[in-house]
Amino acid sequence: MDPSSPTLEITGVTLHFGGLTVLSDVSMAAGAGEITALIGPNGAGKSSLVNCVTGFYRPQKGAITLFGRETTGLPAHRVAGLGVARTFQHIELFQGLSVIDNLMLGRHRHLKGGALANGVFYGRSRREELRQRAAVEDIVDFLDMPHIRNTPVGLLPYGLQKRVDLGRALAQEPRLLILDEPMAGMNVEEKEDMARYILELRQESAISVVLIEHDMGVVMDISDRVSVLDFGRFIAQGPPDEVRADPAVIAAYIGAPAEAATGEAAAR
Amino acid sequence: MALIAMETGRFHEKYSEEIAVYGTPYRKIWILAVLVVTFVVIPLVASPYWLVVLTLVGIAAVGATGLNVLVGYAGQISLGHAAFAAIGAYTSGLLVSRAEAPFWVAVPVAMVAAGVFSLIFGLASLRVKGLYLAIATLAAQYIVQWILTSWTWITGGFQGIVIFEPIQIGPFDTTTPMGKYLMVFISLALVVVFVENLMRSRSGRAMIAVRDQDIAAAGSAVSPLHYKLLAFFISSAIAGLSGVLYGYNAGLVSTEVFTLALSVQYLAMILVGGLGSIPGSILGAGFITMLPLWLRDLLPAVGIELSASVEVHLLTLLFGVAILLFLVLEPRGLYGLFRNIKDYFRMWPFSY
Ligand SMILES: Nc1ncnc2c1ncn2[C@@H]1O[C@H](COP(=O)(O)OP(=O)(O)OP(=O)(O)O)[C@@H](O)[C@H]1O
Ligand SMILES: [Mg+2]
Repeated sequence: MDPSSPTLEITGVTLHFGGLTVLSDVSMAAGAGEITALIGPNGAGKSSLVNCVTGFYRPQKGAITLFGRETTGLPAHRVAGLGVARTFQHIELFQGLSVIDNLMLGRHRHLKGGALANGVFYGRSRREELRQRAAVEDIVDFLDMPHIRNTPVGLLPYGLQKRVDLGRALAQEPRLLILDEPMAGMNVEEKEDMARYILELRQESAISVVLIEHDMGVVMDISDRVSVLDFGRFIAQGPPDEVRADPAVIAAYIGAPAEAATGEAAAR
Repeated sequence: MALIAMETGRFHEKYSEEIAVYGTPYRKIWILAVLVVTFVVIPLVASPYWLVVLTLVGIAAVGATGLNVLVGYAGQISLGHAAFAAIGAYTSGLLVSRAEAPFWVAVPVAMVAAGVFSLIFGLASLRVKGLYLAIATLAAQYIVQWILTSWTWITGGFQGIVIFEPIQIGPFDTTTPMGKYLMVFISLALVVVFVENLMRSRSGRAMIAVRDQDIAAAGSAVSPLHYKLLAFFISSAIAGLSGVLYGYNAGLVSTEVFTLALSVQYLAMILVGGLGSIPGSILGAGFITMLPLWLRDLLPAVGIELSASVEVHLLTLLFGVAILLFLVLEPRGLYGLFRNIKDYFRMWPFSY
C-alpha cells in the first residue's frame, strides 16, 4: 500500500512534554506527488507531528525521513532549506510587511547574495531581487490577490491572511507542502477557493502535500490518502473511502461526528 | 541619500519601478539636496566652530545608525555599543601608531575586530531577549573598560594612544576641522548607503523577519541564529567605525569617551530619532549631541548660571524626559515628526 519512495516517512515517533505524551510510536508516510490528509479529533497531536517533521519540535524517539534523507533533529530552517514549506494553524505572518514582502521572504532560499554583496553591490542585488520578484508576482496572480499585493498583512481579513500564508509557503517552491488547517474559520466559498488552489497546484507541479483538515467533506474530496491520529496514536491510513469505513476511525470520532462527516462527504 | 521617503501620493505600475534605487523624482531631489548641503554648502559657509560641532554629530550618527541596525531592524538590544566602538578605536589606534599600518588597512581591520568581539555577546541573543540581553551586552561594557584600564602596556591606560597619521582628503588633511568634517561625513554617507542597500535586499528582509516572527522566519529557511549574529556583527562593526572616527578626530584614543553613558546615549539617539529609520538615526544623533551645547549657551542667555555638576545631572534628566516624550507621543521619533510635517505641507491646503 505504501508508495515505493515516499516523500515523507515517519517511523516510531514519540514526543513528550513533561509528563504529557503527545505522540506515541507514530509511523506514517506521505507519497510523492500525492495529497495526504492527516485527520484526528482536537488535541490528537496532528500539529505536534507536523512540528516534529518541520524541525520545530524534537521527538524523544523515532526517525523522520524526507526525500530519502534522515532529518530527525535538524533545525527548522534547515528542514525548510531542503524544500519543505508549511503554513501555520495560527497564522504566523510578518504583520507589518506587505503581502509582496511576506512572499519575498518566503523566497529567501532562492535568493543569492550575502550581507556584503547586498550592502555593497546593490545593482546585482537589485537584479536578483527583480528576478525573484517575478516568481512572487506569479504566485500573487495564482492566488488571486493582485489587488492586495502592497497591503500590510496585518490589515487583511482572516481568510485572506490564510491565503497569504499559503502564498509565502508556495514562494519557497517546496517539494513538500504541509498545510495545517488552511481552511479553518473560512466560509464555504473561501474553502472552495482554497481546495481549488491545492488541486491546481498538484496538477501543475510534482508537489507532495500533507493536509491537516477537520472538514471531512474537503478531506474526502481532495486527498489521495488519509492518515488518522487519535490521542497521539496512529490508528489508520489508506484511501479516503476505506478510512471512512474503518471501525477504529468511526470509534475515534465517537459516532455522531463521524456520521456527520460521512454524511457531509456523501452530500457532495 | 539619507532622507529616503516613500512617496504615497502615486501608485507604481511596474514593480521594477517600485524598487528602483532612487525611486521618484521627488526622492532624487531630496537626495541631491542633502548631498549638496552636506558636501558643498556647509563646507563653504560653516564656521570652524560649526564644523567641529557637526563633525561630532556625524561621528555619533555613524554609531547610532549602526545601533539602529541591531535594535530597529533586527529587534535586539545592546548596552555595549560604546565598548564595540572602543574596540574599533583602539584597534585602529594600535595599528596606525604602533604597526604603522595605513588607514585603509587599519580601518577595515578595526571594524572587523569590533564586529567579531560583539559576537561573543551576540551569542547571548540566541538564548535571551530584552532585559536579559541588555544585561549580557552590559558585560561587554565592563569587560572592555576593565581591559582598557588594566592592560596599560597595550592601551596606554589613562594616557591613551596618541599619534594618528593624518589622512589626506583632497586639499585637506584630517588635522584640520575641514578634513575631519569631510572624513566623518564621507564615512557616514558610505554607512548610510550600505545600510540602506542591506535593508532593501535579502539579508535585511531576513533580519526584519526574525525580529517580527522568528517561527515563520525559520519556516521560510531563514536561520534566526545566523541573522541575529549578522545583525550584531554589522551593527558593531559600524560602531567600531564610529570609534575609529573618534580617534582620528581627537588625534588620541583614550578611555574616558567609551563609557556606559555613551552606550545609553546611542540608545537615546535612535529612540528619539526613530527606530528602524536611517534618517531618524542621524536626526537623533544631532539632537542628543547638540542638546548639551544648547543648554550651555541658552541657560546663561536667560540669566541662569549652573555649576558644571548640576548641568550634567540636568542633562541626564533632559535625555530621560526626551526619551519618555517620544516613546509616548511619537514612537516613530523625530523622523516620524518630520514626515508628518512634510505630509501636512504636501497636502496643503487640504490638510486633514
Ligand atoms: N509546546 C507544547 N507544550 C506542551 N504541550 C503541547 C505543546 N504542543 C502541543 N502540546 C499538547 O499536545 C497535544 C496535541 O496538540 P496538537 O496541537 O498537536 O493537537 P492537534 O491534533 O493539532 O489539535 P487541533 O485539531 O486542535 O489543532 C495537546 O494536548 C497539546 O496541549
Ligand atoms: Mg493543530
